[in-house]
Amino acid sequence: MNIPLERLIDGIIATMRSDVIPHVRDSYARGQAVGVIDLLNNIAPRVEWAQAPLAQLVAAKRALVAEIAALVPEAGAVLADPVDGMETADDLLAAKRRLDAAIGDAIAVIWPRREEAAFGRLAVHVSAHLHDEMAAEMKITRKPLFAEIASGGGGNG
Amino acid sequence: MTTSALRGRVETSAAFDPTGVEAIRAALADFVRAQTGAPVDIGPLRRFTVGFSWVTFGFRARWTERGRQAERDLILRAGPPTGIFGPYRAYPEFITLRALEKSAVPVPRVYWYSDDTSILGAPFFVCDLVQGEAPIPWTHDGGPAFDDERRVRLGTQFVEALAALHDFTWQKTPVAAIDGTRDVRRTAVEQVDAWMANLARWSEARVPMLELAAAWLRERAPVAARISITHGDYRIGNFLEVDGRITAILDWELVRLGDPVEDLGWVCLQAWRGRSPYMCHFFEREELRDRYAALTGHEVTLADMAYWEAFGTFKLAVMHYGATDCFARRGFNDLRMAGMGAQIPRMLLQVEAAMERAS
Repeated sequence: MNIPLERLIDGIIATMRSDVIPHVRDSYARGQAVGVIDLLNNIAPRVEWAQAPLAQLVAAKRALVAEIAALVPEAGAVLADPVDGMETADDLLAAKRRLDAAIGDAIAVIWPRREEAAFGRLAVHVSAHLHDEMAAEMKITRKPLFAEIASGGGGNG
Repeated sequence: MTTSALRGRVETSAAFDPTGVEAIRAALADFVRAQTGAPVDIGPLRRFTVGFSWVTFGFRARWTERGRQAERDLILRAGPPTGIFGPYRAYPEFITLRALEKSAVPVPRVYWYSDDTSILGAPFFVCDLVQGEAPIPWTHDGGPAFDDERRVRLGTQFVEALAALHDFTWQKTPVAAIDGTRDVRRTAVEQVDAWMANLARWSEARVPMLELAAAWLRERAPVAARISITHGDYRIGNFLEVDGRITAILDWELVRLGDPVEDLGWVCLQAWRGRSPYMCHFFEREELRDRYAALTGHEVTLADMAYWEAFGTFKLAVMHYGATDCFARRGFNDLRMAGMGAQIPRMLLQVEAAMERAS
C-alpha cells in the first residue's frame, strides 16, 4: 500500500461519517458503524505498516543497486545512506523511495545498452527484482471486490 | 461561453461540493437561464453513484429553446478538482459528443457546458438522460458477463460503434481542436510521455516497473495507419444497454485524437474480462480484429493490438496511481480510490505480462 496509514484511517472514518452512517436506517447497525469509527480512532495511534517485509525489500534493493553500481557507478551513491537507525516503517519507506529512484535512473542507462552482455544480464536481474517485489506484494493482496462495490451488493468478502 | 453575468455571484461560492445539491441546482439554473436568455426550471438533483471520476446528477428540466418549450430528463456531469484526472475540462467531451450526435455512434445529446470553475466549482456539461443499464466487467465469480446470444448481440454493436467512431471524419469539425497527436509516427510515444508525466504528478515515489515499461513502449512504438478520434476508455462498463441494444457510449473524458488501434488494445485489457476468454466479455482477439477490419476496411495486426494492449495496461496502472493520489493527497475520501491503490501490485504484474505477450 502506498497510502500513508494515518491518511487511510482518516479517510475510512470520514467516509463512514459522511457517506455511510447517515444512510444506515437500522439503529443497531448505525451504532455498530459508529463503533467501527471508535475502534479506528484507537487503532490509529498504535499501528504502522509492517516493518519486516519493508526491511527485506530495502535489503533486496540495496543488493540490486550494489550489483548495478558495478556497471553504472553513479547508481551506487544511494548506498552511502546509513542502514542503521531505520526505526520506523516511514524510515524504511523513505529508504525504499531513494533506492527506487536510483534503480529508475539506472534503467535509463541499462535499457538502451542491454544488447551488451553485461548490461543484458543486469537488465534481466533488474526485471527479476521488480517481478519478485510485486509477486511478494501479491501474496498479501486480496482479490478486489469490484463486482460487489460496483453493484452495492453484500457479501462476506 | 458567456458566463460573465454569473461571475459576480459565484466568485463568493465555495469549492465544488457534490453534497450541496441545492447550491448546485441554483447555480445551474442561473447558468442555463443566462445561456438560453429565458426562464428555466431545474428540478431536484439526484446523485448517481456510477463512475470513478466525474460526479453525475439526474434532474428534470423545463426551458425555452429557440422560442420553443422543452422539458426533458437531463444529466449534469461535473469533474471535481479532487477527481482522478483533475483538473478537468468539459470542452473536449462536449464538442466531441455534439459532433457525433448525427453519427452512427450512440451518444447522449448535449446541451450546455462550461469550464469556468467559478460557476459550480468544477467544469461541467449537461446532456440527455439516456435509458439503460451499464454492464460491468467484474462478475462475482470472475466468469462470463453474458450468455452467448447476448454476448454476440451486444458485442456486434460494441464493435460497430467503435468502428463508426474511428471512421468519423473529424477534420472539418470542432473536434479538430481537441488535444491529440496528428503525426502518425508520434501517437504512441506522445501517449507514453503524457502518462509518464501523469505518473510523476501523481506519485512522489518513482516506479521502476513503469519506467521500464515506458522504455519498452517507446522503443516499440508503432506507426499509426490513420488518425481518428479515440475514446480513451472504450470498454464494458462505459456503455448503456436496454434489452440487448446499446443506447449510449459514455465516459468520454479521455477523448483525444490518436491511433485508433489504441482503443482496440484497451478493449483487450485483462482488467475488463476477468477469466473470460472474450475481450470485454465479447469476442476473442482474432474475432475482434476481423469484425473491426470488416467494418472499417482497415486491417489491424494482432501485434499492433498487443502493443496497444500493453500500453493500455501501463496506462491503467498509472491511473491507479492517480486514484491513490486523489485519496492520499487531494482529500477525496472515496474508498474505491484507496482500493485501487491496494491493487497496484496486481496491475504492475499485468503490465509485465502484457509486455511479454507483445514481445
